[in-house]
Amino acid sequence: MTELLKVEGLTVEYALNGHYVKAVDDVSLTVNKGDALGIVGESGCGKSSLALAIMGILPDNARIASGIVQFEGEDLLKMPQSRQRRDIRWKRISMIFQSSMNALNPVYRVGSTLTSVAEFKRKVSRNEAAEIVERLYRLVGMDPSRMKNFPHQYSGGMRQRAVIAMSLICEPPLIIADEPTTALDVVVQNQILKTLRKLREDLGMAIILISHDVGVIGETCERVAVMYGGKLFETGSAKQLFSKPNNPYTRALLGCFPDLENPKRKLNGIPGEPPDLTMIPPGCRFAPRCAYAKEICRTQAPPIYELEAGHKSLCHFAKELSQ
Amino acid sequence: MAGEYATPEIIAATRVRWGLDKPLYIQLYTYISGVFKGDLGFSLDFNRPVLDVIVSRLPNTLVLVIPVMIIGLGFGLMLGALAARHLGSKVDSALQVLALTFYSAPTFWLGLVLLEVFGLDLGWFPLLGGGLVGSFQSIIWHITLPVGALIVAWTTPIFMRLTRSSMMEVLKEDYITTSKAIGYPDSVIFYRHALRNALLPSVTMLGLMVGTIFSGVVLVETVFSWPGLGLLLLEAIHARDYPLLMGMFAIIAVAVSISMFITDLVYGLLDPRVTYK
Amino acid sequence: MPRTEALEPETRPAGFLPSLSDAVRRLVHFRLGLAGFVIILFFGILAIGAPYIAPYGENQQSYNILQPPSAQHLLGTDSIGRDTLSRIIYGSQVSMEFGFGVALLSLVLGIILGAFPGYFGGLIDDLFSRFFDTVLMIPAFFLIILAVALFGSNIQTSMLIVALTSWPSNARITRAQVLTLKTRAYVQASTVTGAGHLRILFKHILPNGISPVIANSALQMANAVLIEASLSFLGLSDPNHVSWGTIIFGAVENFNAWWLSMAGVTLMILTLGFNFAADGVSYLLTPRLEVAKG
Repeated sequence: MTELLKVEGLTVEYALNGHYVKAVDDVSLTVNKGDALGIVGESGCGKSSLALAIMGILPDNARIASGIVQFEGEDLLKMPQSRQRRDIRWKRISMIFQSSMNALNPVYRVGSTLTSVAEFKRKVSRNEAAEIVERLYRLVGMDPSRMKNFPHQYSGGMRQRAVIAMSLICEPPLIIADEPTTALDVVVQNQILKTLRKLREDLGMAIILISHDVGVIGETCERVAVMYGGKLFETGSAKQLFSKPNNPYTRALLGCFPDLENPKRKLNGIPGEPPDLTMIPPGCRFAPRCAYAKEICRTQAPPIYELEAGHKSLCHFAKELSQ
Repeated sequence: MAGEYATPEIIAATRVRWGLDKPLYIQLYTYISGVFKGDLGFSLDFNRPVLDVIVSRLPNTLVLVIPVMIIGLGFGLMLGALAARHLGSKVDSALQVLALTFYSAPTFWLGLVLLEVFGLDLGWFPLLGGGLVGSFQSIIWHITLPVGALIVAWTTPIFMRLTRSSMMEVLKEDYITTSKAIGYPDSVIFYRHALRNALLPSVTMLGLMVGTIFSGVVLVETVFSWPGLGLLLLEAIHARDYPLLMGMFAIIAVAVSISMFITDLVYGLLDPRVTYK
Repeated sequence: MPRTEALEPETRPAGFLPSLSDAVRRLVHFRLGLAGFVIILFFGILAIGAPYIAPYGENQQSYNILQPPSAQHLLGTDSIGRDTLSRIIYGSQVSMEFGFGVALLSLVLGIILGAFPGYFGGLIDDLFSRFFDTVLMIPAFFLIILAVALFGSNIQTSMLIVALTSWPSNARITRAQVLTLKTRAYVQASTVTGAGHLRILFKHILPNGISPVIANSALQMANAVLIEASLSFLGLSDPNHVSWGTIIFGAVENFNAWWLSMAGVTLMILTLGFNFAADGVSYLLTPRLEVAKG
């Protein structure tokens, strides 16, 4: 079976001032072995909460209201924490965070941090662990002699590589990368993406790449899901979404990013602001900012329309827009 | 200075003896150059060099202050970590209220209460006598209450609140989320990954404390008749012993500077992000 | 005695919360804050109405020397027959005056000296920041004792000295607030409309940024009350007005008269009141997310 992760109807809520806010609203997606799925959306659309929910490390003021997260045949949501810690976390699914200053513990040397993980998760001796880490350093293109440095002595790109190396310690079949290139300049960004691509080719792991940067997603991922206000507005292959985007939000999103083939095209921002999740309006939550919105969009929640195999759009007028 | 019954001649002689007949700026110059040579002037009240007087009483205060700071730090870290571990629970709220309550208790009053209860009523501790005299056991016996008063009313609450709030900050960091994603046990994440970062502000506080704890020192030494620098200050004020007062001010200013310097060094050792050329 | 200044605002902590309702915590803090205000109000009334409330005069002596609490003297008498309860009530005057006086002066100084560097930035800002840190480093209590001893023990001098050594904490908070707020949209909007600097500062920035300084002021009041009590305990206060510290000193002199140390309880309650109020204010100021059930 090639299916690795199946998320169905996942809803994540945060407790806020006495009521619950849905950060992730009825999200379903599938990741097969070796896949690269990109989740793209503005800040605050719920992408990070989705990632944390899958890993099982939501903060204590959040809860999973409904849904299943099936990984390698088992529902993670029903699995006790102790088993998750032992068997799943980092061993089968690992995470990469933004390479911000504090992605790595600042008071420990980077090599020490990574070696501890190797010792702990792979139950090997310190020396063996160090060897594993050295190999990983070379794999991500870093000099192992840098292991004895502290995180603040690394550049942003190096920190990101270290974080990537750390995620590979157990060679998990699935890696979730949350904004891995956001804090980096374009040159370094490209290097990191190239490294990621190469690693995927060599090791064959699946990756869920979360980003607000459409370009990054487009470069790396074969399948894409567009998220807005906690809901998936369009899913499909990268080819489908980029060449014939259906959903108005996707179109608007693509209009925001510079197009290399058409550099003179005007950049359009999306007018308005992301929805206030405490006051979700009836109907489509993108309606206030949508160029194609009609009356029905404001009153009735849109259905999921399947355009072709694997290409779905959340819109009242998906069919019309596909013409 | 010359006594209450001095005749004009004696007053004049006293003037000359103390150099008060020279212009003010010369007096100041003499003083400052003296300071650098280690001469802080002559105590009027004690009839000894100021430096002598201060140095003789310094150990008494040190033996009070150092345990207070270290034990307070220890308790504060423990309790602060405990509160942070059970954030939002009744334990946490109770600890916070307790810390606030004890911090609000006037140090001298608490010392008095301790003395009354444990010294007078229960007879566990002595009522009089102090300083570094007698056997080691006797010193410990005498020093317990004054140290206890300062630990309870001053250092522990301060460090507890500081540790708690800095733990809350640290627990929000990405590397903690990563540790959770890796599957480390909660206790490891808490004590090895988080606390190690959270105790840094407390170290800084330790240095600042040398300046602020002086008030507590003066009060506690008064209540327990402990012959240290605090009591010396009061004696000097009542006797209008200006050389001694100036000397004490100089020494304390220096002590505060040194302690801040040492704190910076220690902080540099603990936080690898800080380097000194 | 500079304390750790602004209380850290609590925001959403990442994990380690038990699945208890956050309502408990909110309620506790809110109730404490409320209790704090009530306490302050109580002592305020006590202070203002002392001549009417106290059963005996402030320095009214009698022949009932060192009497334990009785029906006539609810908290006993001291070594020259003065009623302890009355003296405690009168003592609140000094404490409240000191607390508010110091806090007010420190507030004004702190806001002014903190707002300008924060707003204008640059060299002034650097210089002032160094200045704040330097003043904070001075061993305040030592200075206070010294100044009081040298320049006399009247309450105004003491208040002045304490305020002069405690304003930097207010200044730092103000400066931080001004720095954050001056980049906000509405401030820049008013710059465009041609409002003068002073106007922007006092009309737009300060009213919005003042809350943490208020919380800090409550802390300073607590501190000031303790300092005043310490000073009077050490015999460095105005002998004409009774203070709780002097009453407690009486307990040292007459060790068996434990009732004299009751003034310490009052002291503690008032200080607690200020501290709770400070806690409550800063708690109300910061947004919080709750703990989810289930």
